[in-house]
Amino acid sequence: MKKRVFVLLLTVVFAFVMLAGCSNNTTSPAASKPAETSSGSSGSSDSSGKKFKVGLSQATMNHPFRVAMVEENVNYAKEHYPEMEIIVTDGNNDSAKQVSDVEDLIAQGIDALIISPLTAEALTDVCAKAMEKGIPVITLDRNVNTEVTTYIGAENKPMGVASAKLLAEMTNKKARIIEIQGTAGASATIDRHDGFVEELANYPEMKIIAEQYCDYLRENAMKFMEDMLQRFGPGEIDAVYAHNDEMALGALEAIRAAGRENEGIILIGMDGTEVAFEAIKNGSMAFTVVYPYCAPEGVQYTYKILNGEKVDKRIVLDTAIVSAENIDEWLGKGL
Amino acid sequence: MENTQAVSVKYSKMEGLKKSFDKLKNYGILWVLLVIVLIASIIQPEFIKFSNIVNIIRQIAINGIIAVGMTFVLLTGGIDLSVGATVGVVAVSVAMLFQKGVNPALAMAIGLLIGALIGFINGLGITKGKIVPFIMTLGTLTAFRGLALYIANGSPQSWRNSGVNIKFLGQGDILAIPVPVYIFLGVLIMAHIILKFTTFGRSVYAIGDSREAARLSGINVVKTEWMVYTLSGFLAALSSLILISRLSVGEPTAGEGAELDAIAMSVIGGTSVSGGVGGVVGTLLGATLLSVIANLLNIIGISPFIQRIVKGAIIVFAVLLDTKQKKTK
Repeated sequence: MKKRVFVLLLTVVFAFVMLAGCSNNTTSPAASKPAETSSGSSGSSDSSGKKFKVGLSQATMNHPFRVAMVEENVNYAKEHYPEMEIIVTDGNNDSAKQVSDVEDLIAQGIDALIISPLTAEALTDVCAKAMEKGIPVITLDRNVNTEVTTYIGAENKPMGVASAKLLAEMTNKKARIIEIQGTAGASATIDRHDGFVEELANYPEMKIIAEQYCDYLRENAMKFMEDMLQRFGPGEIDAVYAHNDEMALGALEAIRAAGRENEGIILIGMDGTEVAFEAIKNGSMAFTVVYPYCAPEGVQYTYKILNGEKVDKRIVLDTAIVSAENIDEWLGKGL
Repeated sequence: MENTQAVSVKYSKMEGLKKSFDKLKNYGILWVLLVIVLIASIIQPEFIKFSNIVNIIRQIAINGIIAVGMTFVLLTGGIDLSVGATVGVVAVSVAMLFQKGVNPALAMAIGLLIGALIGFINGLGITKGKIVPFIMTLGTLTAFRGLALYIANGSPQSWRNSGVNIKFLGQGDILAIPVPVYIFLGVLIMAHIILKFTTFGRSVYAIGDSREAARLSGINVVKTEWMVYTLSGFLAALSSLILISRLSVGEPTAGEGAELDAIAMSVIGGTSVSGGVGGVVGTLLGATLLSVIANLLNIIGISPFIQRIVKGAIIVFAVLLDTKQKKTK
């Protein structure tokens, strides 16, 4: 008897969920009003009047940067490209899941794939498969190790180089640095590290005394920094170079908790989140490098490609350093 | 006289009906599945497309292999939280062996051995060390995940430049059906035969029912449990080989969360966490249900956040039902 009730309940709940999903076909993760253009569509693009079906595979939604990447693109498309249907998938910070997501999207007959791959190598084969099937692949922010239609992102390497240069100026070319890296294997992480290290080679008195992969997450960085503060006493750390603002702020929390915020440790982040801007304004963070979240360029270029236009293979977006000098121009415009 | 006869005939007819209905009730999950597939095909024709079905069964196969091992463990009343970490260790070990130019077949065999070894260690702690399975496998989960990260230095290990190509295993098809499906079916059939038709299988169920009673009735509980954990580790390793073949890279974070999925599939399929009840057929249904739902939610375009809520809700309901059934036993 109980099992029957369960079965019934499950089916009813599920039916509701599915019907709810159908009436809001192009979704973005935050609760958004269903656009006028998405009718209660069922599957095939013809019946709902949509011409293009685009898959948007995001690596993970555990960071506002990634959420913004998805939302801004989806919202822009809703407004400007009513004939484009976008299906969003979340890889959940697991490359195997993201591979399955892409396979699911391909199986549904998407006309184009926009993807921000979690790691370069793991997503290579499935992107190659999509390209083979004639599905244009547009990579955002991170790249894969096979040829795709176009890559949109800022150059991460110059960001690393610029950070090292500015740090050299600030410390008079002498510093002991802790590097907090992002997700191991992501092209952004590799580039931000390589750029920084290459530029650092020009200053023999500057060196990295410790480093760790903290997955772009604040809590991981905080834990790592706590340990580093134990390992290195007062005055032994000159700077912290974090691959994103979240991790920089995590390090800041650890420094504050240890009561060492007056040591003058120079804190560097990347991305350009609003919280980072505030930290720069009040002096707790030295500078950050604004990194564009590839929206709405993602859907803009996808639209061009779907309409047969030729686009460059590599579309480089601008970055900018935000420090105490120019913080007032940027305050309020952060992520 | 006639009345009682009529009544008893009527009664046995009803009994017969009730028995077959009971059997169907046990596979209530099957009904849920059929209903969902039906609704899905109507609302979203994409679902029933061949390429989509192929995707689904490939997913079932990959997750299901670990779940089969987990089912064995759960049947004995134990649990194996370390399968995910095993996937990770095997992934990076085999990847790095490929990098060093080791013969692919040999490297993969070593991978399977590593998985079995981790399972063996679990078995050792649980049987001889008398450590509660939850704690033992929690320890190995942590330690071996750390080991995987250590030997790979936290980075994904690619063997692109070594010339090794094992893509067929995870990405290939035979007669349009993905290779992992065949492997899974093989594992499933063997597991079913073992559980239902061998003494070992019966011992597994007996231990789950009552460890003490099993021991007193002459079953070698230590040996059986030890083998069960070794099997779980071995199957996790097998799944890991398929995984790295799919991704062409061995990531130290591979398999994170796999243990939870494996447990979910087994429990939804009717295997009780307290042991003694269930089987791999149920696990197949559980794996199918979860994979179908995940795929469906993706196709419909449900917010990724809601997807997780739905998955969690189903798991909770399934366990709730299982507990309630146990109480009425």
